[in-house]
Amino acid sequence: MDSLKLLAGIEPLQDIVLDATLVREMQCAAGTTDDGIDFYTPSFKSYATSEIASCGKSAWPAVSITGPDCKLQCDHCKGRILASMIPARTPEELWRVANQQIEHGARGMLLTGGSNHRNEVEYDPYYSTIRQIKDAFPEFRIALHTALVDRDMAQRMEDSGIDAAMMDVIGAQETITQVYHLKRSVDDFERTLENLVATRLKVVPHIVLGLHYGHILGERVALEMLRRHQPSAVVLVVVMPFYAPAHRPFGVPDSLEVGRFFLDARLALPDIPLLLGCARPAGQAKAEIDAYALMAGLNGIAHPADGMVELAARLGRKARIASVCCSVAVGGEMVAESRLWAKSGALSIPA
Amino acid sequence: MNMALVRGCNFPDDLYYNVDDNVWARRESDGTVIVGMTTYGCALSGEIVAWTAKKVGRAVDQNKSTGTVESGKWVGPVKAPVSGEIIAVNEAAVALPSTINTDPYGAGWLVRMKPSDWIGESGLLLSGQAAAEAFEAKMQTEGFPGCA
Repeated sequence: MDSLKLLAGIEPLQDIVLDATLVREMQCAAGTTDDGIDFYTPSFKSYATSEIASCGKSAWPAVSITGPDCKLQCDHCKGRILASMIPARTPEELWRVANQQIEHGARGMLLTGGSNHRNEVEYDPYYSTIRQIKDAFPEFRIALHTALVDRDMAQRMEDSGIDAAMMDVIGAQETITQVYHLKRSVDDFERTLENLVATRLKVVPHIVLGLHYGHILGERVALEMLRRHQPSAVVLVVVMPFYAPAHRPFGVPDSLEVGRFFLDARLALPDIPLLLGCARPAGQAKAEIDAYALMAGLNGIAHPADGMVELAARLGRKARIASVCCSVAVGGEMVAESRLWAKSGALSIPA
Repeated sequence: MNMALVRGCNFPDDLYYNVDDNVWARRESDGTVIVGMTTYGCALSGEIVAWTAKKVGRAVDQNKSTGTVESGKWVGPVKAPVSGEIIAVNEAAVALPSTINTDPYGAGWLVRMKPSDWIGESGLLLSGQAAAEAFEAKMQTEGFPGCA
């Protein structure tokens, strides 16, 4: 059945506008994709729609080793993304936070922090504590945002016992210089990817679509890098324009361009799990982006827009829901941590 | 305007509250109802970055979603305090969602509704001292430190 006609029957999606030509191309390519779709609801953001009930438990918090502080002050963030995370500014505090979160039901955490001027997060004082956490709670998953690393740093991350390594891959020098205010090169990002993939870590790089003030610029170069290095999975996110300061505004990336990139990425990486991560614009743009992601054959979506569970069902894709970070829950682990959803007329799903 | 102050959060006496869902309703002289978020709800969500309302003309049942509010740490529905038709959306709050935080009972209103059974359904809402006591109990249960 025509995917656009399906949308018209789903109340939360009735107002979105999708490009018929791109949707047709996605339908033609759909034969190459897996028929399941995983929805993730990591609890660093309280989340509820008419389809997925809010999960009160802190199953997947985000922790920053620098609190809101970041030397880079990139134009799209200015440290505000870190500000909503749990601060753990010392190794002792990290140990305490991890124990508290586990006591409150956490099954893992995103561990990150602000960068120094070289786009490195200074984890060195924390590695022994991370190891201690993993030794004490081996089932507790840690997804680490690596930023840029050399071979030694990648090795120390592996030795600490983390479960997944995440980094943003940037493919345009203009974006590195202007948005990140960084004196590093595109090659530095590729070398980081290479260094991480050389370890035994599960490496889950991210591409931030629209990172150049809302425009697509280096994303396809980044995609080529990923094709060369074949990571464990790839997360696509879309820049959130609302954290940018008024004097350097970001536009909302065009949904059609984002959808086109989803299809290109799906075709370029047919054997690698491809996921839509937590970050993206809000409102109607989010609904359009999510619908394109589903139709393009992405394997998972974090914090899906209202109506996505029903759209997945109508497209014949089996939906599974898990309250974990998509960067960790790739592959077979998802099955144990999720519940299979089958539409039976009920619109509310306990998460 | 008289208002209760509970842990630093203000709750005007002339509004009707659904305490569980942190929304308020104000009945206008023409019988329509303005709906918005409480100061408590705004404090919990943090700086709101998007307000996506359902379309004007949509009928919404009591306790069902009139739209979605999103902040850096929260995405969720704003539930209708009473059943009715959405007859207006606050486009100013759509354009500048932080208005919801800065003036939740004024310029940060969310939708205007034409209620279908105000008399029957408003009895389930609380106002005045009863609302203040219910919010205090909710804050106690949730360990809420207070509005900044």
